[in-house]
Parts: sequence; C-alpha cells; structure tokens
Amino acid sequence: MTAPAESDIDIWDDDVLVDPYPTYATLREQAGVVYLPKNDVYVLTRYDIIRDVLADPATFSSTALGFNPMVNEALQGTSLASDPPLHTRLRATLSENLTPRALRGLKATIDEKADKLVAELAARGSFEAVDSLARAFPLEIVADLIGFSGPVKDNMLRWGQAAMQVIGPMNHRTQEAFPIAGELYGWCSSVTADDLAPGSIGRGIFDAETRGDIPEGSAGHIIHQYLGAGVDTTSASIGNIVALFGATRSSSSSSGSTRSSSPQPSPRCCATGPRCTSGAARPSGRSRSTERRFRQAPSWASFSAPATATHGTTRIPTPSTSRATRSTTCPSATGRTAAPARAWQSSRPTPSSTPSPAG
Amino acid sequence: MRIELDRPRCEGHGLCEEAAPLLMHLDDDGELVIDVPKVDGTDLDAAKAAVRVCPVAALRLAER
Repeated sequence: MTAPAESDIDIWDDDVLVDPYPTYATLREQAGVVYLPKNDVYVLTRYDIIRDVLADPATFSSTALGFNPMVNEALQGTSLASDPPLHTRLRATLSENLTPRALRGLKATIDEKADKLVAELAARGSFEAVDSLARAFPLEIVADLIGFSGPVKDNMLRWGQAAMQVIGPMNHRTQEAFPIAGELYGWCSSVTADDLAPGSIGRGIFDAETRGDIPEGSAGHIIHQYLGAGVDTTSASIGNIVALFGATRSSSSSSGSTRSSSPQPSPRCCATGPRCTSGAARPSGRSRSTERRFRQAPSWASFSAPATATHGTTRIPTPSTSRATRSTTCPSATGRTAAPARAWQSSRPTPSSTPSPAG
Repeated sequence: MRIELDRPRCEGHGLCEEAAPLLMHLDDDGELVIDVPKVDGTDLDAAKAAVRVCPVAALRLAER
C-alpha cells in the first residue's frame, strides 16, 4: 500500500489559524489526503473525498470526534458524537425546528430583522463587520428563537465560542475555554420552561418534554446543542462572507449583504466551510508504515471517523482508554477548531476505496 | 438513470433545485418534488450536480 502524502504543516499553528486558506490550498493541491505528523492527524482536503467519508459512518465513525479526551467524554451520546442509527434519531429531534423546511415559516421575520440591521449599519457609513453584524445578528435571532434574554444573552457569544473551542487539542486555548463552556452547560442544565419566552422554540422543547415526545430531562440538553452549534458557526460564516466581499470588491460586493442567515447547524456549513477536527489517535500496536489501522475514531466537526476496518469483517472497537494518549501527541499545537480542511484517522487512507454517496 | 430521493433525509435545503431547476423543485411546504425522475443527456449532468450538492445526501442516481 502506498504511503499517503505527508506535510510538516502544524494545522493549529497561530500563523495558520490567523489566515488558514493559503495553507488549506497548499494541502489541497498536494493530495486529497495528507498526513500531518506534527498533529498526528490525516487531513481530507477535497470535496469528493470529504463527501465519500461523510457518507460512510460505518468506516469513519463520529463517536470520538474531539481532539481531547475530556470533550469526547462530555459529548458521548450527543448527536454530534454518534453514528447512525442513534445519530439519525438524535439529529431528527435536534433539527426538527432548524431545518430549512422548518425555518421557512420564520423567513419573513428573519429577513425583516436582517434588513433592519443592515439599514442601521449602512446608515452609519462605517461599522465593525464582525462585532456589529456577524456576531450581533445570529445572537439576536437565536436569542429570540430559544427565548432567552438578559445576562444569558450577554454571555452567549463567549459561551458559544468556548463550546467550539473545547473540541480542539488540549492546548492553552482549549484549557482556557473549558470553564467558560462549563458556564453554558451549567445554565442549560438548570434552565426551566419559565426562564424562556412563551412561544419560543426553547419553550416548545420543554413542552415536548412535558408531552413525552422527547425523553425526560433532555430539553436542556437539546438547547445546549442549539446554542453550542448555532451561534459561533453562524458568526464565523457571516464574518467570512463579509471578509470575502471586502477582499474581492467586485461588482457583487454589495449584493447579498441583506440576505438573512438562519442559525442552523447543518452539514451544509460543513460542506462549504469545513471545520477541521480529527482524532489524534495513535495506531496502537502497529507500525504506521505497514498498516494504518487505528483503534480510535477520528473526527469531524459534525461527523465521522473510522471505527471499523474498511473491509467489513473486522470491526474494531473504540476503547475509551486509548484516547488519553491523544492529547499528548501534539503538545505544541495551538489549535482552534475552526480549521478548514477535514482531518481524520483512517484505517485505510485510500479514498478511492470508499463508496460514493451517489451510489 | 433515475433520480431517487430518500425522503426522510431531505431537510429542504433546496440546493438541488438550484443545480437542476428543470428536474426538481421545492413545493410550498418545502418538500422536494422530482419533476423529471428519468434522466439522460444534459439532464443527467444536472442530475449529477443535484446529487452532489445535497448537503444531507438525500439524492442518488440509480441505473433504472
């Protein structure tokens, strides 16, 4: 078997994080799958390979998608860190209110708010696009949807950012984010229906729990996932769009600025602005040069990594005890999770062997 | 080739309609309607683009 391409890039280096796209382009040009020894991850760089892997959860499991054992422990059993059929069920509950179809009814309201905000900002002549638009808009929408206000709203941006940051490798950024992410978790654990505005989606989730449509005690958990997934990703998306408009300054630079963006943690975001995740699992007991059969499922921001050997007869379990070694494999990484290329660990990093979702 | 829809997967993103507006559309409820299920020639290219762009892999092309 041919060894995959390698690169000495540190995907979590500060210089890469500040402006990741040239690095992503370099990796993409190099190969569809690139191994990064400094991070001990495989990066998927091209659309078709990413699609194939996402469509193959039997080979590329999502059960341990974070880059540190603490977050993987915390995410156990959530829609983010599960495979079908469990994932299918959890995602259905989570996305019930957030699919484009469900949001159609909210489109007029969201468009109205977007137009109002853009008109206010445009009237100023100049404004800080990230704070005043990219962060302000999704916060406003999500706060109304979930039905919270006051101090919770004041904290939501830092909470949402921390909820994403803790998925990274255990470096100083991740360590600093854990207590902040804990504040969000704490609020979601204690929030009650009365804390949320009548008629809001958040209130509706509690109603569903009361009716027995979702398991008892799961309402706060679902709200946590809305907030953890919806705010930071949407801010990043809007911010990037504005940055791209600014960078290109073409005739299209002003169009689209009034379009609304709904706070939905959908795979579409991942497909167009993939986040780098990746388990940094070590191939236990096997030489990396001979056979890459990992015990650890790697990672995606929202999907999969290999939990099984590609040839279906040998299903490899993913022992949680082996994960503890992972964070030590990249002690110098400065990782944020908002990286670009897909990374994962494969038992067989041979993308051509994976089936296409198109059949 | 035939366009097949895995309806429970479809979330109504509508990207397929943008890729192949002559072959499929979202109705007023956001449900996908395949207007031209059997495709060949230039329609096939559009159908492939629709399959490829679906963010939840709800579409596929079958032999017949």
